[in-house]
Amino acid sequence: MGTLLVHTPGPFSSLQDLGREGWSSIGLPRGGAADPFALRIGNRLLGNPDDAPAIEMTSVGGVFDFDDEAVMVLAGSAMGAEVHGPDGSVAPAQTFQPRWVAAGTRVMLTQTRSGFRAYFCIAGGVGTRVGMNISTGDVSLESSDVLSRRLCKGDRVEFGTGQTLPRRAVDCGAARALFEQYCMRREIRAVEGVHTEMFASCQVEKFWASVFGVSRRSDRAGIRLEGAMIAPRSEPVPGGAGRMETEGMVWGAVQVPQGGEPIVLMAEHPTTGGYPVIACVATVDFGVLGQLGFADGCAPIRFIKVSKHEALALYRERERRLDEVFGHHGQKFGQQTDRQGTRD
Amino acid sequence: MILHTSSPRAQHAMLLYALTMRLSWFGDRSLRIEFDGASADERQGRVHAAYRHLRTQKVHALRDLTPAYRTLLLTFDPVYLEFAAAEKAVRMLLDSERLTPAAQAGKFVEVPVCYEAAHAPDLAEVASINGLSTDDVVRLHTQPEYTVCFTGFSPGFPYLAGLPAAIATPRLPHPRASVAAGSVGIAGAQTGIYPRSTAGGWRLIGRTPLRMFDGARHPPAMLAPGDRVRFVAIDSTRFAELDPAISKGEA
Repeated sequence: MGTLLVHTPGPFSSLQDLGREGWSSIGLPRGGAADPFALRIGNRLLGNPDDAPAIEMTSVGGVFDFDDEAVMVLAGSAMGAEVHGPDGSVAPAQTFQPRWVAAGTRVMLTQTRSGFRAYFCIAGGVGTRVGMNISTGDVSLESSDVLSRRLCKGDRVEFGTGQTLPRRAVDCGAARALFEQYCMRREIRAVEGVHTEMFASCQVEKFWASVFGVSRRSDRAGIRLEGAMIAPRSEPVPGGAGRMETEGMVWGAVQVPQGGEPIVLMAEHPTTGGYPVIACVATVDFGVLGQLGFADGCAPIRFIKVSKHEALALYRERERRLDEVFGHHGQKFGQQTDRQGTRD
Repeated sequence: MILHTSSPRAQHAMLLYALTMRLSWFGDRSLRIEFDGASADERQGRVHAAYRHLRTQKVHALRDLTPAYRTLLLTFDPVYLEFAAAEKAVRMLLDSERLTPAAQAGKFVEVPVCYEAAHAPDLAEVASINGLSTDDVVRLHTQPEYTVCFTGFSPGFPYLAGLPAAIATPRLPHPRASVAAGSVGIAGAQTGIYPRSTAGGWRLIGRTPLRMFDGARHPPAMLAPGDRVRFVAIDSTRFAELDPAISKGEA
């Protein structure tokens, strides 16, 4: 157990676990890692429970100082990383390659080369669970920290407070291959939305045939798409009041506001919404959403229609493959407040 | 299913229930239940009754429930979800006479609100738009027993139904960048409470010192869907006494 000093947080770094389910009726979405699959791979590489918290870094990483020895790994997007040892040594850190670091080590991360979000994972977890929040270890949390404890320069974050399992010898190449196969896709699998009757059929066809870019106005609540406009019907819908009533929303829902630029809801989405939903991203591809950035040279994306049965089968196949590579880990980092574990 | 109803009236109610519910899948792990009803109140009552009932039941792999005006969304664990079995379980549980909305009412909460000008930046405007005095607005706002329709927008933000039509007021044309936590507002025919400081376009007519949402508390939100609320006017002295931030010297 030790303390990590945030020397530089990077543009948007926060403590994230797998979030919590069961609270949407009071307005709390699941939250947690924007790419839950990458976080789970990182945790499994270290022998952590799947839901152990880590630092989620967005586009550019930070600079962190260890005051104690630790085993750490970077999972997710490929950020440049250097490990400066207390003896003056400097070595590059490879993503998905766990390593031991001595007390006094500084880890410096830079711009991502592919993907958008990376997870800085430490054996035993980073941060402490307080109620449904992740705290740096100092329990005075602001109510605004409920969804994300954003890291600031000078923060001191406890690490290694949780249990770890004996680590299996893991092929890091297999971990990377899983991430690339499941999180670095440009074709996102999705099922038909619940409000397709609120679009003319040609608009629904246009949605599935279009390629989209990712707007800079995207965040952890939602990805704003650009490049193709999809028009919802403006005339009243038969049997409806013409205007949709606010209803429950889910991670992956593709909403289309009157303006025509779709929004894909993510980890911190509002729990309810009033825009029609044209499609809903398959759970297996949540990781893909988390890796969609607006960096230069980011290839456009498109949506592939699958049935809900196919979507669930893809998810279960991925879970089998994850367990094949790492063995089954389960989720029990510290105090659990929700009724069951949360899955991505 | 077995008919364990006694009275013909209850059986009739049950039959109506079965006819007024439509199921569809939202994505690959959420079941959307849409309720019919003659009025918004009736639909809302059905949503709350179903929400309260399902919360107390063991539904295999159910992880989350999201009530709204006429829909209830059930989210399942994708590892254990079976589509047909989940639909069947939900139909079984909701086709029951236990679901009469009246028998499933939520808790009653009195919310103290200071309507003095310092905490009520839009009270005078709400009064003048509606041709009333500010005292009238406060009297009308504290009169009804409101129902929490659902919670959304931001964690713990309750959408309350039951606002007297005489004080219904449109949203601000330009939303504020920051609204003080605890602010009580009006938007159209609804009233609500901002649990934390966020941007917002509701017209602010008062402020409660109560902490509506606290992630470290269990349960974190003071109000749940279906709960009933009455506002009680307090003065700024009482507000300061009740305000945890002021009493701890943080403000």
